[in-house]
Amino acid sequence: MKKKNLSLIIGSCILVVLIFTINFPSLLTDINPYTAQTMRTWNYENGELNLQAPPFPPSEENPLGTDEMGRDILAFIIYGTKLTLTISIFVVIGRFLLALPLGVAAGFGSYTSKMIIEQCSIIFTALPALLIGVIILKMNFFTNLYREQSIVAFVLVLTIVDWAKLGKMIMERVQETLGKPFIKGEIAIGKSRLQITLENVIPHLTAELVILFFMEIARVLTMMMQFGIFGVFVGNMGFIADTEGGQTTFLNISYEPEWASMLGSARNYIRLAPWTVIFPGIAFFISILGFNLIGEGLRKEFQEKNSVYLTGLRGMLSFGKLKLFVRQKSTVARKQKIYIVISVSCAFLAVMGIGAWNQYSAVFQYTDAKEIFVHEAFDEVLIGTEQSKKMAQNIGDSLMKIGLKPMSEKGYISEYTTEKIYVPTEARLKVVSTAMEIEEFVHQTDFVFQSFGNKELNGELYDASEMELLSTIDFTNMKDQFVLLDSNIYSEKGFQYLVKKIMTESEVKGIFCILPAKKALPYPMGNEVYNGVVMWVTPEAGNRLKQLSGSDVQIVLKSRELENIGRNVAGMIPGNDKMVGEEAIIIGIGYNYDRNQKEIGEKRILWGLELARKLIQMDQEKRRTIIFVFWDGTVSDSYNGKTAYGKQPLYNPEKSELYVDLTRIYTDKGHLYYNSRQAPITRYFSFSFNHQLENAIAKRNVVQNEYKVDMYPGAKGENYMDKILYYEVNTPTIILSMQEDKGNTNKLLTLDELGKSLLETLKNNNH
Amino acid sequence: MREALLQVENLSKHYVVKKNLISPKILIKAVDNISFDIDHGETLGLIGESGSGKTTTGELILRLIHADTGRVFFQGENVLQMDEKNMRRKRKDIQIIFQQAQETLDPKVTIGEIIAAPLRIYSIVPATEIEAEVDRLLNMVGLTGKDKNKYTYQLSGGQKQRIGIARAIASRPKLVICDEPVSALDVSVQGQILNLLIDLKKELSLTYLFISHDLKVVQHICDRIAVMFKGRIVEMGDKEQIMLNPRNDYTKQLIEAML
Repeated sequence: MKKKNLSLIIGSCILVVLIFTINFPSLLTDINPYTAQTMRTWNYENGELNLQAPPFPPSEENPLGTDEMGRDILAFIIYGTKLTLTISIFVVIGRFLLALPLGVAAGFGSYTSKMIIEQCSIIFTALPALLIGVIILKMNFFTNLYREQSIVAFVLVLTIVDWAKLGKMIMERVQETLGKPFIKGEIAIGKSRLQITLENVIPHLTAELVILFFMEIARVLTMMMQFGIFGVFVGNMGFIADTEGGQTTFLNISYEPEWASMLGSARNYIRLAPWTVIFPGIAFFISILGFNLIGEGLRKEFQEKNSVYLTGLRGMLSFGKLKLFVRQKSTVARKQKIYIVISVSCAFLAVMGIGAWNQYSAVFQYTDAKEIFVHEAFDEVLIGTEQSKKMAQNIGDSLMKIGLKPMSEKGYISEYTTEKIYVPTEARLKVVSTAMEIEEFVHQTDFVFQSFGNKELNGELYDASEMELLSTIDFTNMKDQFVLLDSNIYSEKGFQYLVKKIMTESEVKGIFCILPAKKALPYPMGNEVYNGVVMWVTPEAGNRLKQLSGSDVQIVLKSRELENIGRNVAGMIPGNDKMVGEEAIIIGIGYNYDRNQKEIGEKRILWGLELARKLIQMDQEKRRTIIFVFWDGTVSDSYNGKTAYGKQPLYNPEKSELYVDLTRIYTDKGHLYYNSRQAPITRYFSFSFNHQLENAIAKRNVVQNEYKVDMYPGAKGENYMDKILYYEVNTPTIILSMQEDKGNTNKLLTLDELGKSLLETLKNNNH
Repeated sequence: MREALLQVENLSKHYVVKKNLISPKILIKAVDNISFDIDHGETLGLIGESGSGKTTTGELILRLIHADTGRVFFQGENVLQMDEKNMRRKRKDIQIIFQQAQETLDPKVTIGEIIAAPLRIYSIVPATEIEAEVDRLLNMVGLTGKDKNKYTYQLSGGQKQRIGIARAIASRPKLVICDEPVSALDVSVQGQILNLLIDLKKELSLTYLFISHDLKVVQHICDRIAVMFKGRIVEMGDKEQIMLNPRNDYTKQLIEAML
């Protein structure tokens, strides 16, 4: 009985485990490695708010603890196997691709190749590879790359830095082989150099090369470990530590699961949280040991002349002789055959595992959604109109095409009844001054109707913009007049009350209300019908009207009633996590738009659909439910679909963890207003999500430079309606609003960038 | 002038040897200005003691080592001045059987592949018939097609030499240089191999340059004999003339030693 080759057996076992981990990481852990927990619990003690912050020690929830971003270390190690080993294998392949041709050429006597090998060898002996690698890869440029780019950069640097040793070894072995007498025989029968290389020299090196391959993997892993300790690793740094004074510094940890980066925090955490360093260290130790044992075991195995591995290998590697190999294989014993089958399938699995990467969100272009979103082009889509009905249908179809599930048996569209809806079909305002000069005002740019009906009125303009009328009881002096009021001197509620009171109690012909300075003109849509008319006017138009006090106002208004049914379109990607799969993140986008917003209106829908599609494509394991809602009626607060949702939620509000409001996207390139006041610290998930979304946006800010982002809450243009989910059904809300920034045209945040940030955060913090 | 198959004129190979740092350079004349020629179908024996330059001569003709001076005409063409490409083509017609078969056969290649190599290189037979041709060649040298998948270390010395012969004749050469093909073998096997060579010569109408240090063997197989001593050909003539009436002292010594 032959002595068992223990090192080969143990090494192979480790390799098989590693390959299994690469291919099926989800079988080994329930936790998503990207999930960051910035906070776990909080309590008040002695009147102080205490937060329990990561790194959390090992616990039932996190068997090996978490790192400083609250990511589970076990999951990070398991999912990181792939990236770490892929890098090392690619580096080794790269080194062989360089070293083999040059080494063989040099062995055959090519002076240039020999010089290249020797010079590289000298340079990298004098300057340690580690030093050069750290210097190059520590540059800002490399630390901010996306995963794929980062892999390429890393592999290139690691390859170039330390290939010469391998080249030299191959060169020497080739020279040795060429000195053997049988080469004479091969020359004598007329083989060319190339033929001798391929058919005689390389087969002689096969065994050695295979051993070297495994040993080299172990060496590269060691090197990566050393790099890690110096804070150099693959996977871009995704977490911002500080943005003080416009200077952004990143936390020195990797965004992608990867081993080396975990060692980077050794310096800071070895005493405080030793688990963040020890476990990745063990992972490195075991895999380096595994590859070394395989190398050692193979060396022993190949020393036997009849080694079945060697025969098989040679058969596989000698070109054009595969037929022969197959024939040979039939002569080997059954047991050996099983070995061969196992190793071939392992190699196949390894290749598959390394080859399959999830689609990453690095590319996001909302225009891509055009292929799935088929719709008629409408000038405007308003609640209650035929267009709105069709548009809802189109969006529903697209959601189905993308693969979102409907929220109920009724389908994607959920209808709700609103109050009566009127829109003006004809609206004219003309003021004839005492000097008989006619001044025209344009509907929806200077003024807007807020009450409806069919009317033709004229009367005298009465300027009451500087009067406070709340305490006034008698409005009879306003009879048959148009009154100009300034809403700025009243509270919001007070002003509403006042307008209603004047309209119902007096026989006034109409009221001009001057808009508050920050507000935009609302859309002309509503259910109020009075004897007179109510209009909003812009502050500029208000000033013009003030000059025209006492003039004759002529008004023509014709309106029609719309169907008072709104349609929210919603679809969901059901969660698949055991623990939190039922919890939902709701993303809300408006699909109504008027004539002025035609362009952005369509883009907004496309963008939302693309977001949904990318999420489906990412095919994340273990995540929460994600719900996409396309609200109807967003052009007017009174008919907004969110109100209906507030009264009758589509999803269990107790399980709704977060609502991201994207209805106020008014441009595809502009100033971002960001409000997270409704994602309070007591709601862990939304708080954490908010934290990371802020990070993701800020990161774009740094990399691409100077987007305008307003992180302060209370941004322009938002109102109660945006936060209605928070107030009505207690769903934490984050509001993102994009508005035009006319002063600044080139350095603005684009929709695509915002989409990327959202995707990244959803991927990152969705467990 | 008659057209010989191989004409060697003034062929020389000198080595400069320096034993250590301070010793003067020594010029060793491995092959020193030798000339001979071989006709079609003839067997020329090249005989001499170890180190007399026999093997070097053979390898110089094949350009396995580079000659210093001299010319080697094969079918009227100077092989020493050919470029690599033409020379490779020429090797089809000049083959060699080495003394140490196991060292000159690649141990990591199967026998079938060893013999198939020249067939592939020169497209002697179509690719589909290579297998059959290998079998035929193996039968020719007294082996069977079953041995095809074996490696050389699985064979005996005599079998290895047969493989060497099979490889040499595979490309259907005109001239075969037999570089002491039997000297490493047992006496019983020697006879079998020599008879095989004689049979093959008749069958394939080959021409041999037979290099040996063993006069008995040379006498058995050769038509003419050239005697080499210290890099020079000291005597050359018909077999009978050399054996019965040697002129050179060294030749005389050789014959005496044999008897």
